[in-house]
Amino acid sequence: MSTPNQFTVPNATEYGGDEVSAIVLDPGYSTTRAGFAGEDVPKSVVPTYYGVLNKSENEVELLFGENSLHNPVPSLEIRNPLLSDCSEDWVEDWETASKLWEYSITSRLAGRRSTDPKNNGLNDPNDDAMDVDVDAMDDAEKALEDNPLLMTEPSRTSSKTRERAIETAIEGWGVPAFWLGRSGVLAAFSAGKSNALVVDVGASTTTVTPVIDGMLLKKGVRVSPLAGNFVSQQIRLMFASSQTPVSLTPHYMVLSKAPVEVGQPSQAVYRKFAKPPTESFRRWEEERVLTEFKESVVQLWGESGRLSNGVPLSLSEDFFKDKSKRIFEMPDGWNQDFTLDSVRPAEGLFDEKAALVDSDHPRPQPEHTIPNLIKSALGSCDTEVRPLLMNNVVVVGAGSLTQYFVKRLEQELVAMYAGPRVRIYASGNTVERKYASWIGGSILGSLGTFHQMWISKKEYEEHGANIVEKRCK
Amino acid sequence: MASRKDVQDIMGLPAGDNAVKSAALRRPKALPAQKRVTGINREILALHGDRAPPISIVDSKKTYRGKLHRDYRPSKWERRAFINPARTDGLVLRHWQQRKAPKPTNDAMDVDGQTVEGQDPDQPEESKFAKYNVEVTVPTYDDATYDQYLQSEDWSKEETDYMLNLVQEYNQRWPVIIDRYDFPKSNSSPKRSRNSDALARPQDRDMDDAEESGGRTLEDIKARYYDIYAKTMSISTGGPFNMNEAEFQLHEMLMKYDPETERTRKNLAWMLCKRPAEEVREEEYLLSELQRIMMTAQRFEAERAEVRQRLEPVNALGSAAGTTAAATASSYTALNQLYTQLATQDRNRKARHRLSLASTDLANSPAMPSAGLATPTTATGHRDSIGGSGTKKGAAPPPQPVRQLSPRDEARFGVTTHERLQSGVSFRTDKVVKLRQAKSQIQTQKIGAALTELGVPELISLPTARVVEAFEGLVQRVIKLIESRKVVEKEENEVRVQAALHKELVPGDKEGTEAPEGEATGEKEKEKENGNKTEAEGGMEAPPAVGGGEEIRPPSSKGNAHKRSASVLSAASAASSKRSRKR
Repeated sequence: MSTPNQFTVPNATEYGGDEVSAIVLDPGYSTTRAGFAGEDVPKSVVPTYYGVLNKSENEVELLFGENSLHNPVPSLEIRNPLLSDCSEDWVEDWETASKLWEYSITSRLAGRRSTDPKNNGLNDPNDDAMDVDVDAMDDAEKALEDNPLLMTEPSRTSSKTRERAIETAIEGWGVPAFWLGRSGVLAAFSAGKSNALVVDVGASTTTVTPVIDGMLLKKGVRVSPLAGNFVSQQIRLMFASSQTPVSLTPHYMVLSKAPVEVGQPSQAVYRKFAKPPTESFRRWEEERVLTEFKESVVQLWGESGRLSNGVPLSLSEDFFKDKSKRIFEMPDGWNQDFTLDSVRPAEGLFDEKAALVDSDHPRPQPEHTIPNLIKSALGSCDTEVRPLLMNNVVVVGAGSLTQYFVKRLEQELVAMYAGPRVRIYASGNTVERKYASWIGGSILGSLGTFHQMWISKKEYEEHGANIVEKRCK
Repeated sequence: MASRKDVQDIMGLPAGDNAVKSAALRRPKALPAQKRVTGINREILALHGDRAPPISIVDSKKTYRGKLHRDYRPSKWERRAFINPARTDGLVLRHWQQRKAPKPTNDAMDVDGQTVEGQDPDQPEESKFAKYNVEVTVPTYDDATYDQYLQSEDWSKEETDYMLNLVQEYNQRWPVIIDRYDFPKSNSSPKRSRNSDALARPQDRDMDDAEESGGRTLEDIKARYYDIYAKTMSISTGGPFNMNEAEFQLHEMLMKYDPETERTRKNLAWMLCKRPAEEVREEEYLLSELQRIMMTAQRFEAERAEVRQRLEPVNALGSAAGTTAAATASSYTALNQLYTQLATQDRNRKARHRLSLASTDLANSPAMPSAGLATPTTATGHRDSIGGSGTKKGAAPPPQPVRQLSPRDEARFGVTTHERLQSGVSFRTDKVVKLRQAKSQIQTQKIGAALTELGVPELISLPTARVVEAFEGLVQRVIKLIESRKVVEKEENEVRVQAALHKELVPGDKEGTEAPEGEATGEKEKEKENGNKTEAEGGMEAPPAVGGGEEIRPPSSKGNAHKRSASVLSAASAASSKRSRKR
């Protein structure tokens, strides 16, 4: 029994952990993560997008979860309850959002509790059916009665939004204790740091959050819309503007395909729909293809010279010569070897001049690029902490998994601030990068010293929803 | 591992059937003729021979696995409720804990927490993490104290209270406090202008944090807080004189806080941070340069110190030697000792020089003459002697000097240039001794006598380059002096001889007039005789003796024809004079 296994208890004093079966909920724009505090990865990851299925005139069914969103059913609309812009309101449709979040928890983690067979109504004679129904309804309302809930929120939210969040959790889900943590701060915790400058490249927004002593510096938070979805949009623009426009055909459209040579038009047989799926569904499926493209092709320009300044083609060819080929095949069989085009979509994150534009998508503002966000964030912090922050740049978010992102960011930062030592902490583990704020919440929620931080139901009832402003600083 | 069968075998018991059956792990040696091991190639099995295979061979067909056996009982765990005393609302949370003692009822294990809580006879235990709940103490005051001592023009009481609350809430984390500081300003216009005047902010500061936090900068807030802290501390302890050491120190520190200095310091620090890369690189370069120079200077200083240390005892000895002759005699042993000491030091130094020559920085250092050059001199000049006696000091500089030094600097650093260097090492003391020695004993004695007359000690205690040079000149002049003295003596002798001759001849006038002629002719003849032999000497023959008869001839003139030294000549002339005197 010398090696620890599942039967050995970790010494509580070793890590200060004291788990109370808290649930951590980390709602992002693309996915919603939920899981038990103290675990390594979220058990439940569901897309934040949901489906609205019009069954009949008045009957609308909401579909949650990955499994129910990819059927090409007519009249299935795909929506997102969150706001895609950088506003402080965060959530557009609270009603659906709370249902979605509840689904993300209850579908995997804390389902409806199985009641004691003595009084669950099943074994009773049928004479008092009324009471059973009431009991069942009570149970349904209080799905999370057993577990404290730690929820994350973007680094910049209005107090109204925060109050709405605690209302949803305590009144809607009946959690005994609640806490609202900033995702930036929690991401810093996931990197094991209490002082950090967190650069979070998410789906809808890129956020730069200075964290000092585990606390957010509100004035230093910078949010920009140049993030994963922006890169997707850039890819669309790139496809549209190429010499032979690339048709972005989602998987469900293709019935069968034949292999074709590189760059040759596809020879696919498309599916015919009597009533084609909705536009939003198609876009959702296209995004799926684009995500694949981003994951496998898109990279950042990590060499000297700016793309917007016209990097000589020879140099860029040199740059791609020794790299492995980035061939991407569309669902319809069309395939291409992407060289310079693989660095163009993401370049706009760092250099607004290199961004692709059209009439609907104007050039991004220069202050929204990541280097300028960091510069501006540092500028609004106290002078004394700036070198400390530069020394602890934590890079998280799935958008930061773009190849050479960290290298490029380091180049930019060193070019900006040569004096203080710039040190970037980016986990090599993709899961830790994608779910950083959830992991940070998991660490925080399982700490023994965190127990005094929870906002209990009693406190909420005493002080009202405003308590979240006082306690979750 | 002895199986049961082995034991039975040793004890001579018949092997039981069950032993065979139970052996899932089989060694070929153990049961040679028994059951065949399955699940492994026969050939591979044969490779093992009689030895046990390195891994245990388990029959893969046998799927039955025995029950997991543990020699302990699994501990009982329960989801126990606890409270955290740091909380005021008594929130009950539950965590999994090992059950301490067997409970009388099994209901305590009920999953439903509410009932456990209600029925549990003893109160929920307290969290052991509550002890980490510590808070900072901020100064407190009542209204009277505030009015009397803590009034400020800039700060209203409300804002002071707000500030102190914030400091307590954020545990004196100043960067966070200034971030959250948001006191609604009513009469801030004069202050704001004051601040903007006082703050010489860098131009490119993106955000004006002072403007955002109601005109307050972090330094303002800190100054106010420290001021209040110091004053309340002073009031509570009863003045600085009643404080203990720690309190007094803290008080002093608080009183000394100067927001302006802090502001300047921070600005400077930030300017330092945001320098362009070239400046940073330049600074790094300069720093490394400085470090190198410091190191060289240190080494140089150490060498100088060593030389000084070396000179100390010699000077003492020299002064002692100069006073009395006895001291000179006794100092020989001391000098001997010193010599050996110096020799060892020199050896060490040489070794070190070899090391330092390897490092390139020495070659580049401006303070040191280049070690890569052919000049064997160093800053201390102690190795001048390496050039031997043939070295020429202060000769014309080499055609391409690495660095032109002024004569003063050359003298200072002991730089000398030589046209040609002799290989090998020689000591200046040797040179000094050689200079003293002439070719003949008499000459040597004469030089020694002359030097003694001049007060030059027999052993020059510190033969530096300059001293040796001077000594060489001196010896040469001494030699010249001795030669000229010899000539003078000879001339005087001749004059005397001639005078004596003259006296003798004056009575017989005829003889007297003939004699010189005869002598003169005799001389000429003699020269003719010896001409062939002496020609090679290039007329270096001694000045011809004047006077003397035919019989007067240098007895050793033939044998000593090759000798050029004055002593020979003087000896010859002395002999001739003797003869002439005899006559």
